[in-house]
Amino acid sequence: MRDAPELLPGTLEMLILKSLTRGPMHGYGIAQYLKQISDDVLYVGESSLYPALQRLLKKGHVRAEWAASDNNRRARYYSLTRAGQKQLAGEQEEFDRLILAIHKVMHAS
Amino acid sequence: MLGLFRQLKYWFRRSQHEAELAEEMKFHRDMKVQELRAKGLTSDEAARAAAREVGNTSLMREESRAVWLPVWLESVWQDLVYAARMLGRQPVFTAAALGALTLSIGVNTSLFTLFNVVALRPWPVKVPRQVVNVQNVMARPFGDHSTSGFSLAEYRFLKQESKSFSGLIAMREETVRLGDETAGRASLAQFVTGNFFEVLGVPMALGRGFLEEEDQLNNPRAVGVLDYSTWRSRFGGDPGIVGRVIKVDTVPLTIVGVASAGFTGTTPATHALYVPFPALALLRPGDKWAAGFLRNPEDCCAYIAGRLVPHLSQEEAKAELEVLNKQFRAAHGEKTAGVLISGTSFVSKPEARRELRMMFTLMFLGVSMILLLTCANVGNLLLARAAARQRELAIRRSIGAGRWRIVRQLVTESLLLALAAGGMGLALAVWLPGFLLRTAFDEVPSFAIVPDLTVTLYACGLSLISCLIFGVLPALHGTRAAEATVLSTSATVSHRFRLRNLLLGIQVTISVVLLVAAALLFRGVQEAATLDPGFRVRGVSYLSLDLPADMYQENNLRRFSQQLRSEIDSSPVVREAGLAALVPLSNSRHSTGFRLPGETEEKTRPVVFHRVSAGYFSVLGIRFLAGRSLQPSDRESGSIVINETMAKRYWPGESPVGKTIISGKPRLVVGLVADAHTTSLDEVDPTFYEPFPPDQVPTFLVDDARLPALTMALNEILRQREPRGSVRARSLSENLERSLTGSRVGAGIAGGLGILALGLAAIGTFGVFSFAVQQQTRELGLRMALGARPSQVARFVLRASGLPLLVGFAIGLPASFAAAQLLTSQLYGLNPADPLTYAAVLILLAITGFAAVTVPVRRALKIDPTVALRYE
Repeated sequence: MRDAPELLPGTLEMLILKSLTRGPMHGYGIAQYLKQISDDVLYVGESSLYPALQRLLKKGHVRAEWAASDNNRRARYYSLTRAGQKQLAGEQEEFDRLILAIHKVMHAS
Repeated sequence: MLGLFRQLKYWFRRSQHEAELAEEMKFHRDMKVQELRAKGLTSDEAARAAAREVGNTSLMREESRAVWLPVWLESVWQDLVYAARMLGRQPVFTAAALGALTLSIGVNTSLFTLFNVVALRPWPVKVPRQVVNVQNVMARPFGDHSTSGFSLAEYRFLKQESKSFSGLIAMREETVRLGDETAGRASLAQFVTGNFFEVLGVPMALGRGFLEEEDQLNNPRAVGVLDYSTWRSRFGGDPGIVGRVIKVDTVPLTIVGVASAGFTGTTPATHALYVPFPALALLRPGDKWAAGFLRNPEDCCAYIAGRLVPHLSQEEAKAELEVLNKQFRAAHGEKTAGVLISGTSFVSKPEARRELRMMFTLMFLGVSMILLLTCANVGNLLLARAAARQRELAIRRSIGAGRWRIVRQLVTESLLLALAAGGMGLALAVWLPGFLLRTAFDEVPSFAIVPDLTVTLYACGLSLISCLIFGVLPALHGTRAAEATVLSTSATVSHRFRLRNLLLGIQVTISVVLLVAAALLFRGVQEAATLDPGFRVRGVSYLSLDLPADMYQENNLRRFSQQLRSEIDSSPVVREAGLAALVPLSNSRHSTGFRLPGETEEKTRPVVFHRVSAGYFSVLGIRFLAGRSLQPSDRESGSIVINETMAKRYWPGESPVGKTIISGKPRLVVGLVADAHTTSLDEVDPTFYEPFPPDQVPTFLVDDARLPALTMALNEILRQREPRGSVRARSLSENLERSLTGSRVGAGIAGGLGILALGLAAIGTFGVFSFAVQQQTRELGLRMALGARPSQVARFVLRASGLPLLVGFAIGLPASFAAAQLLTSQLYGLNPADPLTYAAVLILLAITGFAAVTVPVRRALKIDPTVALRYE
C-alpha cells in the first residue's frame, strides 16, 4: 500500500481540520485535496482517513451532514465546528513550534 | 461530558451509523473508479484497482467503530446476544434451568429478606447508626433476661449528666383502649419522653410532636400523637384529626399530631398511639404502680435509647454511662452490674442473637443446600449441553478461537441464565415472605417486608456465586477435549463423565439430608398433635371478663375482685370452675426464683409458677401423684403443689410432700401433680402452683357441659357489680391449634424444600443416566450384537452410573443424622433418629431413583445393534 509517509501522531487530524477551513468537504474530497496540495506526497488511505474522521466527530471538532455532491450523488460532507477551529489554531501553533525546533536541530552544525 | 453524550447517541443509533459509514465507503470507491476511468482504464480494471486501493473495508469499518466503542465492550455485547440466541434455541433446557434457579434463588432471597427486615434493619429513624439502645445489666443471678430497663428517675439523671448523647429518650409500651375498644381488642401505646420524635428525627405527617410543657410531671396533659396507619384505618385519615379529642381508657385525650408513614415505633409491634409519660397519671389515676413508676428511683422499667454525639463510639458512651449508673444506684442503695449499649437492629441485642442464630442458621442451611443442589443440577445439564455442542466448539476452535474466548462465551451464557434467574428470584422475594407470614400468623406485620438495596445485592451475589458453581466448571471441562479427537468421532470422554458422577453424588447426598429433615419436622408436628399435653384440652373452655379501663386501677380492681370472690364462693356453679391467672398454652409464663432451705441466696434458680384454684386441677384433669390439692387456707400459709419435673430434679427418689422451698418466704409442698404442658408444648419446666390470690380477676376454666351455666352466673354477677363489663368464652383447643401453627408452617416449608430437592435430584439422576446411554449407544449396540442378554446390558448401564447414587446415600444418611441433632428442639420429643422417618425417606428415594433410571435403561435395551453400529 502506498500510504502517506509516516505522520506524527495526531497530524492527520490536524491536516483534515486545516483542509476543512476551505469549506465543507466529503471524505473523498479531503483525500484528493491533501494529495493535490502536497504534490502527491501525502496520500491518505481510507483505512486511516475514516477512523480519523470518526475520532473528530466524537471529539466534536467536525460535524457531518448529508448533501448532494457535485455529480449529484448523496455524500457526507464534513465541516469545521467552533471547537474544531479552536483546536486547529492551537495545534497550528504547537506544530509551527515543533517544526521550527526540529528544523533547528537538523540544521545545527 | 458532551463526549459521553455523543457516545451514547452513537450507541443508540449505531445501526444507522453503520449504514451511513457503508454508504460513505461506497461513495468513496465509486469516486475512485470514476477517477481511474477518467485516466483511461476500462470500468472492470478501474473497479479492481479501486478495490485494491481501498483495501480491507471491513477492517476499516471495525476501526471506525472502535473509535466509538471499546472493542471489549462490543465483544461482551456480542457474547450476550449470542448467549441469548443459544438459550432461546433450547427452550426446554432454558426453561428448566431458569425455573429451578429462580425457585432456589427466590426462596433463598425470601429468607434473607425476612432476616433483613427482622434482624438487620435498624429503627426507621434519621441517621439510624447514631441511635443506640441503652440497657441495664441485671445483677440478679436468675431470670430469662440478663438485661432490663431503668427507672424514669434514673433516666432523668442520665439525661441531665451524660455528655455522650445529643439526645436521650425513654419509652415504655402499655396496653390501652382506644375509643370503644374492649379488653379483648386493645391497642398498644408507647409512652415516651417529650423529646422522643425530635431525637429520633421522625417527622410529622400532620400536626406536631410533643412540647416541653407536655412532659412535666407536675402538670400532666392528656395529649397524644397517632400512628399513621392507625390514623388511616381507625380515623379514616381524617384531615381534621389534630385537635380532636378521643377516648383512651375512657379518659379524653387530645390528638396533637400524626407521625409520618414510615415510622412504626421502636419495637416490632404496631403502636397505635404515642403519649408523653406524665399523662400516665391521667390515664391511670389512682394506680399505685403508675404513680411510683413516674417518680420512684427504684421503680422499673423504662427503656432508654439515645442519639450519640457525632463521632463518639459506643464504648466511650458506655464508659461514661457506667460511671453515672453506679453513682445513681449507689445513692439509692442499689447494686449494678453495668450498662450495655447496642445498635437498634434486632440482631444487635445480645439476648436476641442466640434465638435468631438457631432459627436462621437452620433455615439458611436448608435453602443453601437447595441452591447448591440446583447448581449441581444445572451444571450437569450444562455439561450435557457442552458435550452436545462439542462439535460446534471444536469448529470454532479450529477456525482460530482461543480456549479462553470459548470459555468466556460459555460463562456468559451461564451468567445470563443466573442473572435472569436472580431477577426473577428477587421478584419472587417481593411476594413470598409476606404471603408466608400472612398464612402462618394470620396477621399483617407492622413493618413493610420489601427487598431493599441489601437484599438486591444479596440476590445478585447469589446469582454470581451460583453461576460460578454451575457455569465455570462445565465450561472449563467442555473446552478441554482436544479438538482433533472430537471432530473425528463423538467418542465418550471419560473425565467429563467423572465430573457428572460427582455432581450426581452431591445431589443425592443433599436430597437425602433435606428429605430427612423435612420428614422429621413433619413427624414432629404429627407427634405434637397427638402429644399428651398432660391435661384435658378437648371439651374445656375458658371465660374471661372484659372490664372497662377504669376498673384496672388498683383500688377498683381489688374491690371488684373481692366482691367477685365472695360471689364465686357462694355460687356452686362458679365454685367448681378452675381459676387461673394464665390460660393454658397461651405461651406466657410467670416465673420467679427459689432456693432450698440451707442454701445461700446465690443458689437461687428460676422456676415457673401458676396461680390457680383447686378446680383448675380437676377441670383440666391433672392427676395428683401424692399429697393433696390446694385449699383456700393455703393462701396464708403459702403452701404449694409442685410438678413431677421439679420433684425429680430436686428430690430424686424421694416424696417431695412435706418438703419446703424458699421463694420469698418458706413454702411447704403439700401436693405433687403429673407434668402438664400448661405453658407451651416444649419441654416441661420445674413448676409450682400456688393458690389464686383474692385481689386479681381470674380466667375461669370450665367443662363445656357446664359452660352455659357458668356464663349465666358470671353475667349475673357482672350485671349486679359492673354492668359495663362482659364475658367472653373461648375453647382451649383453639389455643392448642395456635401453638401448633408455627411448627406446621415450618414443617410445610421444610416439606416444600424437601419435595423440591427430590424433584431436582430425580431430574438430575434421569439426566445422567440418559446421557450415559446416549454416549454409550455404540458400545451397547456392539455388546448386544455380540450376544449380550438384556439383563447384562441393564447391569452394564447401572454399574457405570449407579455408583454415585450409592455413594450419595452412604454419605447422605450419616450427614442427615448429624443434621437431625440440630432439629431436636423442634421435634416435640420425637427421636431425631426416628427409624420410621429414615425408612420412609429411603423408600421414597428408591422409588424416585428407580423411576429416574428405568426410562434410560429401557431405552438402552431398545437399541438396535445394526442402527447403533451404523450411527455416525
